[in-house]
Amino acid sequence: MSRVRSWTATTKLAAELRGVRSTNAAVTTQLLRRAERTHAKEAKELARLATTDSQRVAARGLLDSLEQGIVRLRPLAR
Amino acid sequence: MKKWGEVALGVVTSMGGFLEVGSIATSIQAGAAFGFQLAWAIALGTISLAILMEMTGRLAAVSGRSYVDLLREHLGVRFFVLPLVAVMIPSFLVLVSEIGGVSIALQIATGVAFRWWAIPVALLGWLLLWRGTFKIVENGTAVLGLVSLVFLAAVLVMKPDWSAVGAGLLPSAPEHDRANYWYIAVSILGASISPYLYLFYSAGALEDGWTIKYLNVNRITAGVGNFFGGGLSLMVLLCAAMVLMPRNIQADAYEQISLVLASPLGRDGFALFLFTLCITCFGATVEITLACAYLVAQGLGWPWSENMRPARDARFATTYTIVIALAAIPIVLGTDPLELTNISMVVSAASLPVTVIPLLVLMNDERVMTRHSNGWLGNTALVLISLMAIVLFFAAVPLRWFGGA
Repeated sequence: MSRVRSWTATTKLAAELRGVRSTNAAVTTQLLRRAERTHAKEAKELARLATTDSQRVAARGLLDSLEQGIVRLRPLAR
Repeated sequence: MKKWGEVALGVVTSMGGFLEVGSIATSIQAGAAFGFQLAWAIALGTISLAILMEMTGRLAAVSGRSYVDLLREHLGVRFFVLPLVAVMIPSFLVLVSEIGGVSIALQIATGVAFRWWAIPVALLGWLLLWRGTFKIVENGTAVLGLVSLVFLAAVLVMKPDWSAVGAGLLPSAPEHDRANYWYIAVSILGASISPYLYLFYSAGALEDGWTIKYLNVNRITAGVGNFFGGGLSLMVLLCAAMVLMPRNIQADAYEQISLVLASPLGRDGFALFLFTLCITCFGATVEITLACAYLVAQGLGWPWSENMRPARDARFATTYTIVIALAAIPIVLGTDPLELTNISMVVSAASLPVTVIPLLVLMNDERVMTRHSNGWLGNTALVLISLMAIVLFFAAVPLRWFGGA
């Protein structure tokens, strides 16, 4: 879960920095790819680990946040 | 006057050459996960390295022999196999990580995958070794490495709470993730006290023609140079603590790490971070390759000197050619540079006893050191470092298992 939170925050920071041209398109693209890979990997892992409804809801919420971050970052990557 | 010039250059070299892939990665991971709390590990590692460098430098200046030479001569060829293997393995892993560090910086700058950069980087490093002299290798990249002062600039811009930084210089127990905390502490120590650093320093003292008259130069270079170098490592940790930690960003990819200066300093900070990563890792690539060749050549009694033409020390030149060529392969194959950096720092920490404990014997041998053998203070410090090395030996691998996942 901490990894998902970390990548959600990373996508947010990467989008902010790219928005003000503090970074380049290359690193934005590389961060996007890594965030996508993390989303895919952690979705499987959390589905396996979550055993109760409340855990599934929490996991879904975290994954949704990461997905929103990815969607925000996508147009900024090349 | 000439000597003071050498002191100044030595201090600049130690400072500019201090940061490399291991110290950058471990300091950033520490700052991102635990804020200022692991600053003590950098301080401890820096002080230990300064002591070991002063002693191996003194050993070389007084005896006219390198530490490796003396290890083989005084403790026997059979014993020498142990440090040879114990230093060669972590040094090689660190070398691969450094090539990975340069390659990843170039990947982030250009978008071309890091694996494509490994061979050009290795070729450029080899060319520098083949054509250059020790002075060029030692000072060239280190002076360029002063660009890492950008971390100090970023810290001054962000204005940390200096009392909290001061509190971090005192060891304290973590409130969360204990295994990860100690794992990062071990990694920082492994990065700070890599055996190649003091073996290279000892060989370098001979390359520079140090004699007994250079004992003060040695003392100042090892002490002041490492003080400033360790200070830069601390600045890296502070940057991560102020940029990544408040956002809950763990540093598990170099791409995340590259954002650490973009936040306070904008595009210039981002570009300077990449330049810093590139040049400091390239400097370390050349130095570690040379350190591996010194180790083999001195251990086997071959002629060696970076100042000689390759034709005059062909086996030495062949060794560094093979070492740097082999080190490029894992990166070409796509090994994750950050994962490898973490592993190599742990292996480095675990290998310390084999090179630190024999130093205690040599530094007290009056046949070698004449009247410059260790006093009680030096011996106490070396015993404490040896004890720490033994703890690291036993703790490194279990902590990697429990805390590094």
